[in-house]
Amino acid sequence: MNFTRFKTQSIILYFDEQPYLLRYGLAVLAVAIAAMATHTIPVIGERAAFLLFFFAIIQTAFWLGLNPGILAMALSLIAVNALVLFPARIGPYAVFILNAGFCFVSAVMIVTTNFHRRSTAALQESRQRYAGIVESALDAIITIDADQRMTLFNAAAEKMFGCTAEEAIGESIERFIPERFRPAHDAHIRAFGSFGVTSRKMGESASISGLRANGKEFPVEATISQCEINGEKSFTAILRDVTELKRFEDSLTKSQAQLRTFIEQAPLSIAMFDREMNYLVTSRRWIEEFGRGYDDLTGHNHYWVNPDISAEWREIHVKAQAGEFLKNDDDLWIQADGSRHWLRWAAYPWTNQEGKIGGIIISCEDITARRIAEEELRTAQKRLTLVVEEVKAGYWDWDLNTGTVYLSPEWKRQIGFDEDELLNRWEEWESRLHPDDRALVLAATENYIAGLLPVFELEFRLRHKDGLYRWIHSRGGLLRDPNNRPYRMLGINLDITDYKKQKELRDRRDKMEQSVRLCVVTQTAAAIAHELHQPLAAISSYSEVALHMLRSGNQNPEKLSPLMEICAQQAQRAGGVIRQLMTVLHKDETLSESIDINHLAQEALELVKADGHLGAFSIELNLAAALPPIRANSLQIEMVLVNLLRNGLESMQESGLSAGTITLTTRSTDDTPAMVQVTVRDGGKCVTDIATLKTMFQPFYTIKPQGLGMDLAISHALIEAHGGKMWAEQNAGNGISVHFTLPFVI
Amino acid sequence: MSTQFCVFIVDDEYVIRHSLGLVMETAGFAYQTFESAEE
Repeated sequence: MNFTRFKTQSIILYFDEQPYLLRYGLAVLAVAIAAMATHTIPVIGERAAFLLFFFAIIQTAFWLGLNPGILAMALSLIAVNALVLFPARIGPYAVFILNAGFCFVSAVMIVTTNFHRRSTAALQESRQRYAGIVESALDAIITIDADQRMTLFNAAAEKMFGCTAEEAIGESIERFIPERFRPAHDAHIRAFGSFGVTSRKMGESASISGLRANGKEFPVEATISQCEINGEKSFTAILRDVTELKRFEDSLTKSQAQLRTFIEQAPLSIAMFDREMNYLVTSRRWIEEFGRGYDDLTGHNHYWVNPDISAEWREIHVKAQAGEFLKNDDDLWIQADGSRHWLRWAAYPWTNQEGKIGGIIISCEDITARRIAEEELRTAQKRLTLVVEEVKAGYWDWDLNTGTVYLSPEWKRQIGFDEDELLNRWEEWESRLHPDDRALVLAATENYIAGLLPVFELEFRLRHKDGLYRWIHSRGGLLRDPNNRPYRMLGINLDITDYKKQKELRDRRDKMEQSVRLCVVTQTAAAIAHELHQPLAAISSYSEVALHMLRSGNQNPEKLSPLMEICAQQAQRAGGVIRQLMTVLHKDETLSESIDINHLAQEALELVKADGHLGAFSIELNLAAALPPIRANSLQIEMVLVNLLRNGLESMQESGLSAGTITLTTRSTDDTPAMVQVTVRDGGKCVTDIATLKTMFQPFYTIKPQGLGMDLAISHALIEAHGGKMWAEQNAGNGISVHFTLPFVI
Repeated sequence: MSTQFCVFIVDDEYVIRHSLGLVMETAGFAYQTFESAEE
């Protein structure tokens, strides 16, 4: 604190604070000095003596106060009488008048001097208080004169600008103003001084900055006032460093902007209301779903926007405004158009800075799609579980990253174990593989995971608890991560041991039947050959004799005629043999029934599939709808279809193809409206020779390395026996198409 | 004079025996037909 400007006032205060005894002693001393001066200095006249005592009284009253002044006056009155008046031998009236005058003058001097002294002390006290306030103020206070030189620079200013008062006093205020603001500042100060306004806030239209002694700028808030003393203007600025406030405001503004952005862009419907349910902020999702066509709901009242809002929701608003936290994770909402939506919502109050409820926040999410998806997933899982249980499929799940394996109870049951008898380990599977299958299965698994095999479908044997092996059909798939790396493999196992046994039996039976059929065909062929050989041999012999007779000139009709008659008879006999054969073939006519040709086609397809030779080949059914039934022996027609399909498949395989499609078509044509036309089209060998296309239906015609060549002949005979026709055509591309017709039931 | 040969024709079918007999005759061979070996 700078005390140098208050020395006089400090002396007054010093004496004013002394004990009364000392103060009265000093008063006596002052009067004594005046009396001694009057007595010992002869040149001092009567009037001068009065002046000495008046001076003592004034000084006492001024320095020591009223009471010491009165004491000095009383002592001076005694001294004046004793030293001046009595020795002058004047009359009592004059003594009285002089004493009265002395007292009056002394009293006036004491009162005025004391009043002046008190005023000075009050002013000093005021200045001290001012100085105390200025020095203890948290804000910087700077006073400048008309030339903008600093005359006051308080402690807060020292701290704010990093400069001592000694350094600042007398300097221009511009040293604390950034250079770019100095011209404007000077103009502002001059304008402010000319307007006559006593005070105002600085920088109301823009932020102002200060300049620290180290050259750093900082934001300030300032109030300036002016006063004029003795014709000199001075300006006092109260400055506050708002760096932290500015930073806090910027942070708050940024935080509020982030919060608004967060709410607006939130992927769910969310709205903030005040106490009167006016929108404060909403997310875009809310605008989309509940905006009722508004682009911005801010400031709008919720009930104006939604006049038809339900009483239930109004009650929720009231409860939330009262402080309750309400929510519903699965609320069915039926819209006006009857559509059903499931909502997940929450309504809760928000509090303002005073800690009071400022309104409510409502968040809402339409979970209909998720709900439907979950429902569908549950249904699918239920179906899958049902299917897995019904087909007795063993489920397995292998985590490729951790190596952990899950084996379902049915998986374990297939090889004779209860659920708790077998651990969920890869080794439980691998160690039970049949030695003959092991290498193949492991290689196939590895190749499938590596992407070298398109599908994982294997048949292998697993060792049962009883030591025997069970045939397992396993099919699986991979789950891949976003980088297409497999991380799980799962699938199902089916116990096909019984199927395998049945298939083996069926194959053996088919071979036996084929053997029997071969035997029958062989015997039949032998019988036919025998039956035909005799008439043909006779015809050959007779015709040779007749030819010899004609060549030798013996053209006697009587001898030739019997020979030719016998030839004719033998030819008819051969024809009879053929007819007998056809009669045998026609024996099953009595078993004819009304049947659906499309149904037979599907059954034939299943039979061919059951052969297990299809591989990558496929059979496509192209069946006309609403075909009338045909009358036929279903077994025989089914056999025809199977024969044609098998022939087509074998033809394609023998052509070197590894894949292809055979098409079986049923239709009704305009050429034969009363008949169904069935076509089996393959992509196998080409037969361009028309004669061959006809010959292939004759008995024993075959181009296969094995086979009797009777299938097409028998099929042809059966179709004709049913009143239909069978023929073959070369396809435009590869292969042939075999057609046959059968009459509809009339 | 050439040696006279006789061809025996055995078959259970008459037309076979007869037709073959005519062929033998036309070729200049004598023949006899039998329905069976026992005959």
